[in-house]
Amino acid sequence: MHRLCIVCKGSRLLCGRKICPLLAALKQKTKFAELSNTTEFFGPSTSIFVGRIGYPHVRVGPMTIFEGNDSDVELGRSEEPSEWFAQGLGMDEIVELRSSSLRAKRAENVTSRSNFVSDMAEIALAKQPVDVELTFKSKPSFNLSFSDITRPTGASVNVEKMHVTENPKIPKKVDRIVSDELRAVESAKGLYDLGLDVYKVAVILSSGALGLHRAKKMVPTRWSITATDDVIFKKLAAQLKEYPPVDSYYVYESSYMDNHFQILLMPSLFEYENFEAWFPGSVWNDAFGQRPVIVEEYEGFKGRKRYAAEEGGGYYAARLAVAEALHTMRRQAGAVVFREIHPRYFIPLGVWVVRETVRDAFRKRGEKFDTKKEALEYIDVRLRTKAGMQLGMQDFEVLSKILRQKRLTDF
Amino acid sequence: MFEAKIDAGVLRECIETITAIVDEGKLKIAEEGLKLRAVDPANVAMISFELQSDVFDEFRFAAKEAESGAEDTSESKAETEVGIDFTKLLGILGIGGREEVELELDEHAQKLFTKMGCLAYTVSLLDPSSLRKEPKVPELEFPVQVIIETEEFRRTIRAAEKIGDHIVLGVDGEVFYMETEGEMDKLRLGLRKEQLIHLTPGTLHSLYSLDYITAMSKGMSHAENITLNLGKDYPLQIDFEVAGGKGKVSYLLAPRIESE
Repeated sequence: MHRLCIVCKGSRLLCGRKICPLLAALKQKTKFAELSNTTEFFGPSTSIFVGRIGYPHVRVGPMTIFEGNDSDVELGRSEEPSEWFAQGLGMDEIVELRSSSLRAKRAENVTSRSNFVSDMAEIALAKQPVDVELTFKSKPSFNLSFSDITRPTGASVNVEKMHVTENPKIPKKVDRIVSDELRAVESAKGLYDLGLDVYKVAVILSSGALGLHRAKKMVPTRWSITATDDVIFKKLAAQLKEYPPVDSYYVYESSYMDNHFQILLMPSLFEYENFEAWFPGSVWNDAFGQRPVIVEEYEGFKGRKRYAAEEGGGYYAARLAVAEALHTMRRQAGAVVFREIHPRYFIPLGVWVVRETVRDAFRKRGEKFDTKKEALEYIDVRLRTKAGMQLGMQDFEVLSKILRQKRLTDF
Repeated sequence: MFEAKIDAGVLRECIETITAIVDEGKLKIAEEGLKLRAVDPANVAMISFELQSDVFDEFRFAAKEAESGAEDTSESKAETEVGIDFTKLLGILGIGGREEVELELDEHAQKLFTKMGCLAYTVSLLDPSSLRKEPKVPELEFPVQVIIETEEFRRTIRAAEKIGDHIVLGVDGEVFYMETEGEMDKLRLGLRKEQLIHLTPGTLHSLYSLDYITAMSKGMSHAENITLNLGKDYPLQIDFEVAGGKGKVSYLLAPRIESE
């Protein structure tokens, strides 16, 4: 997983955590041993997962929890990143929570209309976990996996048959939107307007329940998350680009699991820039370099056409959270997001970390400044203290499309 | 009342200069011709555009006030302002081909009728009050002026795009240069006075965002020469003519602050 882990092997806790997250996962594996001989499963399915390898022939199926602790709260919790954040779960707790998940899978084409696929769609649409009976083809294998975009998953198993043993409770309004002959983008917006969070919208999008009848297809979970962030952002952006600009410079801040965010809002029409500074030792910076590696992506008022390849899903997750905040303020702004990823964030847990932390930053009162210079100095000081002098505003400014650009109004 | 006929190619060339900076804007129509001034959403680039009425094969205009016999006699009022989505209009002109375009404005219905051969297209106008206010032109004095062949300039920009995000435009003595630096590579174009059409000697340079200059270089593709007005860490003004000298375009671009 990581050089530090190889050296430490859970004994010395070199990462500075109280519990080794990998050992926490291993603990699950021991529990899992009891299950690993069974070829059947009965219990609630909390969500679905659609793979991407081999697209359009992918592995799809319901997600279940195999571990005993099955109070409804716990079940809901296993799929609710906003809850994880609110409860302040740490890396090890999340790994533990997610490693008790079992991903049942079966090969299907994304356009498949089999009963298995339509059962999956119902699980995705349901308000609460749905009881299912699964017959496995083989024994489950424990293979904890992590990704930058999706939440960690635990064991997986090939499934022969699925039987839904109860009537899934699908909210009427959700059902109405899904049964309308609408393009997937329109339906996704409608679901968000109903108050569904992007996590649920993404699950529904991945299930293939959305889209014009002829074009309905499943969307790999990984893609559905960023697609939903993008679609909902565009919906919000169309509105917020009509709002008046913020009246001054504001800085918002939040930190979670060694991801430190500072967000600068400037009084101008909407434009957006996102910086990620990966410290040596964090997930994607292999500690060869001595300095943090900074990547940058930008979009102007008109929006972007090209995928933000430098940053991927994190760019879109943060952009959504910024747009949500501006939309609530009924204001637009030029927004710059500074994200530092410190060395102790060395297991990727998914882009929800970005989304929830930025959302949290806007729940607090921002610091107000009269000039850009003062705002940048404030950010600079906070960067330097957190980063141990390794990183300053200047490192970002050189790369910035926004910060070093003069405006005609300056002359 | 506004009715006009114009060569489709000429009209397209003019609109392309506008869409290089903005998607939509307020076009002023007067007896002398058309005028527009607009700034991009980020306040970084501005266009001032003028087209004389005699480039049109037919041009008839009467201001509203005059029609209704209003007492306001000041001549400056004799103009009409319409909000146009130029990107959309350009898209349709592209389909219309090379024929002559007939334009007719219906101010009451807020529509612009266009006709290209047998193709008729009605453009809904944008409410001018929903568009951004016409920007103030900053008062600028440029110490240096360079006149260069458009193609030479555009070629360098095309190459620079492949290398970096920013470009330096400057004059060193009697040499005009453009320079861009990427992570790995560096590109420099240096032209001596005699290789240019005109050059004011001096020593100064400014840094600009290539995104904007690239867009501008598309807008100027029909002009033979362009005039670059330069200063030190100062906006860049690019002037050129379109429509066979009957149209004047001036771009203004704010610089980037250089890193120490």
